[in-house]
Amino acid sequence: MLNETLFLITTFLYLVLIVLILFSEATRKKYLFHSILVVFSFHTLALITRWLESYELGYGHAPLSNYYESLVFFAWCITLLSLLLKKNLRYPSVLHSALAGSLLIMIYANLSPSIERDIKPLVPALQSNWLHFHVSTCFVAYASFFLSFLCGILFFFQSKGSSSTASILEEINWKSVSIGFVFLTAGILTGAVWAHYAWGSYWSWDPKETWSLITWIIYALFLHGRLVKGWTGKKLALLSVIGFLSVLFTYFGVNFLLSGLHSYAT
Amino acid sequence: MSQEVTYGKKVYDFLSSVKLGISLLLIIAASSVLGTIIKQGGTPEEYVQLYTQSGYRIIKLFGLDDVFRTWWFILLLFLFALNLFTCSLKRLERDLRRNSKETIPPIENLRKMRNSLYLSGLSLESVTEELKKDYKVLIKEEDGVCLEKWGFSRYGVHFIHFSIIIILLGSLLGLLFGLRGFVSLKKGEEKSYVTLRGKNPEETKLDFLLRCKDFRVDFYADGTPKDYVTEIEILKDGEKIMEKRIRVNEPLKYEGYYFYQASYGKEATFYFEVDGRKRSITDREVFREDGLIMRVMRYEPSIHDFGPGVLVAYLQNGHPETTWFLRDVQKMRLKEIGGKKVEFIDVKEDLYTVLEVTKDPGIYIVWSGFSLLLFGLFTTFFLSPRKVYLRGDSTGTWVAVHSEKRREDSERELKKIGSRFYAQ
Ligand code: HEM
Repeated sequence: MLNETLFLITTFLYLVLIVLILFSEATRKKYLFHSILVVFSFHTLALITRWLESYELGYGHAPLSNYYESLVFFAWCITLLSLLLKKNLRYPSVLHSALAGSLLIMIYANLSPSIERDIKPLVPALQSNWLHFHVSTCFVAYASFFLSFLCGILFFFQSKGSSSTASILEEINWKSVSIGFVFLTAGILTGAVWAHYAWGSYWSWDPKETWSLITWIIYALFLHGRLVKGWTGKKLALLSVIGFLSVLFTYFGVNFLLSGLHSYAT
Repeated sequence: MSQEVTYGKKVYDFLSSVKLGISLLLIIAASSVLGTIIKQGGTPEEYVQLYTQSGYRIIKLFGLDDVFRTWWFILLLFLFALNLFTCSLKRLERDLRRNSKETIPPIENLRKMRNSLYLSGLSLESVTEELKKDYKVLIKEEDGVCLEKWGFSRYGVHFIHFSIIIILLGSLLGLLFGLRGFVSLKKGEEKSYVTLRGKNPEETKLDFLLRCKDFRVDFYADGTPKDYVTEIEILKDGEKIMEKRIRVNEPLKYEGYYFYQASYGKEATFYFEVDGRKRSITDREVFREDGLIMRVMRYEPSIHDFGPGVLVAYLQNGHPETTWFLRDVQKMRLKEIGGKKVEFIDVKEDLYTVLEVTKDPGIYIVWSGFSLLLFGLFTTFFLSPRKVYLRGDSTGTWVAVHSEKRREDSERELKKIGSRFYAQ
């Protein structure tokens, strides 16, 4: 179907973008924003096409319902946030590595032979508007935490002694975690409301729910560490890495290693 | 006496400390990890196989097979709520005290402030009148005014913390006074009780009657289930009160009970003639009549193209025996068992719907907590209080803006105020 072609083109465009970033000094400033905008537009177009094509198939649902769709939406959120936070991303490595992240996710989602890419109908449990709120808020959160993770990693790699890059990184990190925390909370709450309507229980300690709570607690510790205890530097950087590992486990680990209600995995 | 007071204060200080809060959060997170990697709610055999005999003993000792319902986990949550409550109370007290001590800086100070401007030719009154549209007046003096916008966002943190306590209270209410059960209904069947979940299933009576008008399952072309629909009627004192279609994600709510489309099953009804009299039994029933005791052990819709067959167990002189009946084979259709002529006439398979039934008196408290939590987070992270100080002199008015959180906010706010007056 058309959406598959568009997603392949988008993946290729991400590749071109990263190559441009790596090899061309000129794109660094002037053209970079516009190049990202072009790639992002294609990405958006691919998502919309997939949405429309699901109606042609008679299923009619937003592309937020299976593992493949969650991956391409995740990448879309990362690029979106990179664009929105552009003014704040005064540390270009964060922006560049975020885009590299989008590229890797798109390659995995669109080229891996183990991923089911067909548009599938929704089983009754997934036919709910709350699902859309739930998935979209969660993935905006995951994308913010990904940015925070990059800040954490880059903090450890930045040249020693330059305190200004450290404080820029910390500022971006703080902003990302703030956004991520609000959206993760919204994601957990909308998930609970959905569970209430679908299963009759807003919280049942299913592994995915539990891991989202663990992730939430880690970022709550991050917030209090900085606000109340005045933590900075290594401690916060480490917490943002741990937090994102917990996000990854919530997203992938629970699907592949533990069993539960959230059966995204094939 | 004073010894006791300081002792009590020490305990309270510990109970309300951020340190305890952080420790509790860490312990709760760690226990939750255990609760996802150790199998929950398994049988003893499963545990012994997975973790050996001694491992099982440790698991049982600490209740690790049901972490989220053990006494110590609940205790942790209680402590956490208490800590959060006392910690926030202390904080709230301090914040309220601090905010009531507002003063307007003298005009020399305003002039020196980073984010200030002079509106020449505009009187204090006219500036105040204009700003009052968006700002709240906090203090009004003869030659000075203090106004504020989004002051409530200063209390965003408190909304967050108290909302978490509200959510915990709401869920406690649900745990104490709620119930969970299920009811299964065939098409046309009526019930006025719910089977409760638990180790020893019991039933609870409803003071109304549920009647299943219809139940059906729809599939997509590729065989994936598309829709489960139960048409339900609620009757009270023989009168129909309500009619509703229950689907997954669309529960029925009545008198505090929620009815959810949870699953469905098939039940077969078998029709026999016993000495010429029509009789019917279902899968699970034992048939007893004039000394004949029998039950259907197995049902096959088709046995080697010979049509449907049932394996019937019965008692012959006190000994259990079994025999197959085939509907479409003359010789296998009629048999003499237990001294009676038994003929297998037909079988009919009915779908039955399974509705999950819950009652949760805390649900609206939980929902309110959710809304308050989101509201609190939004105000804390995306809004910040802005104060505007005004001092008038003979030729104009000094305006200064102060935002507690970020300097950029003050700058932006001042620009907005400036353009407001210069545009006029
Ligand atoms: C998981 C539960 C919790 C959540 C989601 C939470 C959330 C937050 C958030 C988002 C802030 C930041 C406010 C800001 O940006 O100014 C904050 C601040 C704070 N929290 Fe919590 N909190 C939690 C538990 C606790 C606990 C258990 C304590 C203490 C025992 C605590 C004490 C504080 C304090 C003292 C502040 C600083 C307030 C200030 O800066 O004036 N929190 N909390």
